[in-house]
Amino acid sequence: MNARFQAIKARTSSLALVSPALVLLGLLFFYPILLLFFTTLEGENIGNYAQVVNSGASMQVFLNTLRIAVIVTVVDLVLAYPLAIYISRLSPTGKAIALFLVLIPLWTSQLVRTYAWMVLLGRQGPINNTLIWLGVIDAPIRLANSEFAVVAGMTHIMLPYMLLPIYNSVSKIDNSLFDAARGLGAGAFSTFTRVLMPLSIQGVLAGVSLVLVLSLGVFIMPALLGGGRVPVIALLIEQQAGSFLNWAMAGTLSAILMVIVIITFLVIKFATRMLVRGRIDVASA
Amino acid sequence: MPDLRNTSALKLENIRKAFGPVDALSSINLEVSAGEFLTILGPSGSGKTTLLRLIAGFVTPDSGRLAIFGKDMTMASAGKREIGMVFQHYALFPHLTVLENVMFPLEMRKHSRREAADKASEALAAVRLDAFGDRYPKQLSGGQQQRVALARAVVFEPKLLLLDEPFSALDRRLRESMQREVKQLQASLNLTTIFITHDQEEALVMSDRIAIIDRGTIQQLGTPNEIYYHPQSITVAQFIGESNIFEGTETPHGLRTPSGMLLRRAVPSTSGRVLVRPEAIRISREPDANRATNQFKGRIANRTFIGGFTIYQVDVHGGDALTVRCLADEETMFEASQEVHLSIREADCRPVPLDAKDAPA
Repeated sequence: MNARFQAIKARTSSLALVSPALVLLGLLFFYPILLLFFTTLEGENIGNYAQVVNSGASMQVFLNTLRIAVIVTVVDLVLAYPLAIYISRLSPTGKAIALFLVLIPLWTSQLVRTYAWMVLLGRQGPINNTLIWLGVIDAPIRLANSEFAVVAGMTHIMLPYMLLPIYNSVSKIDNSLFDAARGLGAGAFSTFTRVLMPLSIQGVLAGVSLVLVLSLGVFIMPALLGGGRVPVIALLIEQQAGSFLNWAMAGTLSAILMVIVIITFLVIKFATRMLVRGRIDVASA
Repeated sequence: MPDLRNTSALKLENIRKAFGPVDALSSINLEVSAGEFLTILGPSGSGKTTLLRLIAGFVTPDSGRLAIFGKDMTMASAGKREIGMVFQHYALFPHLTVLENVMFPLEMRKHSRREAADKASEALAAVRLDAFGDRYPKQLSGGQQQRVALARAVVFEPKLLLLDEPFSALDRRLRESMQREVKQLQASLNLTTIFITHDQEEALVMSDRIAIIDRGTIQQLGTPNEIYYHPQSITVAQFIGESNIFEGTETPHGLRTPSGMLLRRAVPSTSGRVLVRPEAIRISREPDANRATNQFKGRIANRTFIGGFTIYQVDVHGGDALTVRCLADEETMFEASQEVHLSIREADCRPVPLDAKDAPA
């Protein structure tokens, strides 16, 4: 009885502690979103949904956005997983330096980083110059203003969001488990598939969901590095609201994007539940 | 059939391993016979963990040779050595059930899932955990996890079993029953076992032979009796059991300490040092009638009652302070500052050889 009372008390007091944040979020975030959402349902606005779904061009943009988000997520996963494992085996000083280097991009304005990529990928940029100097190409090739540029830039910006959750779960794994696996006859591949991967899958899925969701809504990179050649949904929304002043259509597109994001999120959450079912606190062995 | 009787299960020759400028191990030579239970005993930082990791194959030596049943394994990877190992904190895979954990080494050896499950169940039955196959390690107690680790280490019929301080995380009572269990399993499988510990009592209880390691070298290798009664150096004498060590000058009658005590010995020696175990000293109100003893008068400085035993600190008149350990007896307890007689049989005054390691630099 007493324990139960304690639990209720703890729950109420923690609720009291988070309430300012909840009120702030509710007022400044959920309220406007709901407002926008209800606007899209008012009167003739509701027809916008049918218009978007039936428009091949709009659906193409949605698919394109999804495709880019998936490419960025996969590339980041392939880059971040080995890096996370590598960092987790460094000395404490090495770890601190490596994590600092990973975090620096997060502290830099996305706009600044995007401009940096524009310089890197430019006609007279270091990449083109190096390729010419090496004799790989004769004349500068177009790197900027392409999907490649957008994907490269996004991959860079999103990397920490993939790396940190994976690093977090990899570094929690007791190192003696790898010794045990090796000693019991597992090679590098089996150790990865049978021990490391199952024990870090939560971090991997967390990283995947973060990068995927963030990539679906990304705006600056496609706007500045895509040079109008890389249509994504955020650009379409901006165009409707900013150029055509069609707030209702912008709202409809936002609502559809939101639904896609929520579905993505739920799918990954479900996958996580399926993959780690039955286990009790797997990470902290 | 090759004759394995003359082949040692494990043979280390002149093994050396340095980390940076520091020698973790230097010139380690060790032979373990098949079926033997050998303990590597040493304080932390002595090099015992490096030696264990080297035998297991997680570390390769800078020089020297390592052979398992006559086959050179110096550079072989851990998985190729067919060694079962129980880790200090068990290292059970938290995402696999108990049964899956025990099946793991079998699956790595390409046994069918069915066969692996059967063998794993058998191994679990041997440690009385067959009813727990579906549980996850976290749902088991420390002692049960320990037994799972043991089952996993022996299920694939390894050539050697390595135990890395496996009992250090268990409470005293559980530790004693686990020690018995491990010893029984080891004997029934006739499995050559190398046991690493810093606990000297555990080493004495479990081992056929003990290798005392300190500062990266094996200080002494012998049976528990040899190690306890005939330590080859002060380091070993002090590491195993309690000890009274006397240094002094040799006289025709025995060793004379700077404070004037004369210790006669059954075996003549010129080492200048004598070891007397605390339980070898008799303590009484009256002088001992036996003439073949060293006798001293002293005063009790301090008494510690630990149940079965009582430990006294005794100041010998005009001499050293001694530690005496005797069976507790309620009738004859001595009080602090009481005058007592001490007697030590000549045979119990054991010379400790002088060696280079103990000599002052």
